[in-house]
Amino acid sequence: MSISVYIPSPFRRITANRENVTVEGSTVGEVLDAVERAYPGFANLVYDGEHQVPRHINVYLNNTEIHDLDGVQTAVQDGDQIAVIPALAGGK
Amino acid sequence: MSNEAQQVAGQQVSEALTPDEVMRYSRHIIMPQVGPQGQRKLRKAKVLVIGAGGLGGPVALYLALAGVGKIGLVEFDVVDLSNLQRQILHQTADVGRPKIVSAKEKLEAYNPNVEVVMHHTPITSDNAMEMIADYDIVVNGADNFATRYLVNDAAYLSGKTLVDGAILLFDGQATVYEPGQGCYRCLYPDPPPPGLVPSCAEAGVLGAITGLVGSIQATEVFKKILGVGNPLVNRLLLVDALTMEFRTMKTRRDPNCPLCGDNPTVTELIDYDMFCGSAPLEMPVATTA
Repeated sequence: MSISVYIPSPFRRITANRENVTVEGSTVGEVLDAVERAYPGFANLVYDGEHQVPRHINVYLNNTEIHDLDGVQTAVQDGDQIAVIPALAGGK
Repeated sequence: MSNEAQQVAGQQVSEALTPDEVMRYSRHIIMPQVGPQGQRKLRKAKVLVIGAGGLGGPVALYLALAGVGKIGLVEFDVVDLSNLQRQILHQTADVGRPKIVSAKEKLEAYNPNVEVVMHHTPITSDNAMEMIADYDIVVNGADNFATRYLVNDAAYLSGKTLVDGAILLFDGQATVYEPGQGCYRCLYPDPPPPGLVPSCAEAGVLGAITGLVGSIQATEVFKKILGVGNPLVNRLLLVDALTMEFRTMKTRRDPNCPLCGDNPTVTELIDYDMFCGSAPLEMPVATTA
């Protein structure tokens, strides 16, 4: 499946400043791994040391967070969009 | 007229908008969603703004312009030159002055009808509950995760609406938490490891983003006070200013949330520096974004 992945601006230094990248995959996990292959370093941003998505990052399939679905095993379909959204604290 | 009737009439007259208020808020009053009754609601409202910096500044400003009767500011920092790129309540002559004093002066100059209460102290586990108690709504303009979790917990435990916002680079996030309908811990159960998510000082922030997100927060406060529109409850608004796209993601109460879930384990305020893995500072932490 051809899936569009939305990259927030704090992560775009990894994706050559692209806000959307399109990769192939049949699950959310496969899609994220595909982004890593296309843009090495991406996995360090969205996975922890145990290859789990840490709880300060939300991954949305369309507009539903994957913890409300099947996590990274959630199946995706053509035309779906995944958004990777980290917590922001603002700043001084 | 009897004394009792005079007293009732006096109360009604005292609640009526003054001619100055009718003129000042005329652009609100003619709106069917506001009207004189709505304007009086704004006048009676009490809103606490955490931080008088990037986000807190535009929030507090629009609250004052709208005639929100009591605006509390929580701020401990002093104005720094680097703030002036985005913190609209502070000017060059304010550098080195307490932000809260600078903010109060500007807000009262814009609208002398509002009461601005200065909480010239960091918000901590020791004072948050008492501080929040006197207000109807809390608005988050904090600049660090420890304060965000603290404010979230305190607002929930106090039964207060929390209007949240955050910014970095060209991105913004905004949502509204109503007790019982999810909280910050439901959205982000764990903070990031210290140092993983850069601050605005480290990564930067487009100054105008503070106005964009702060204005959204102020709008959500008004909607809550007036009881109009669709609040950003169970919705996370994502702002991407580079593409000028707005996305809305669904959020929900997590039944396993340690604060607002079915079996809460967080029933009082905790050590948030420890929770976030950050070392406590020797000086009070600035709470401004």
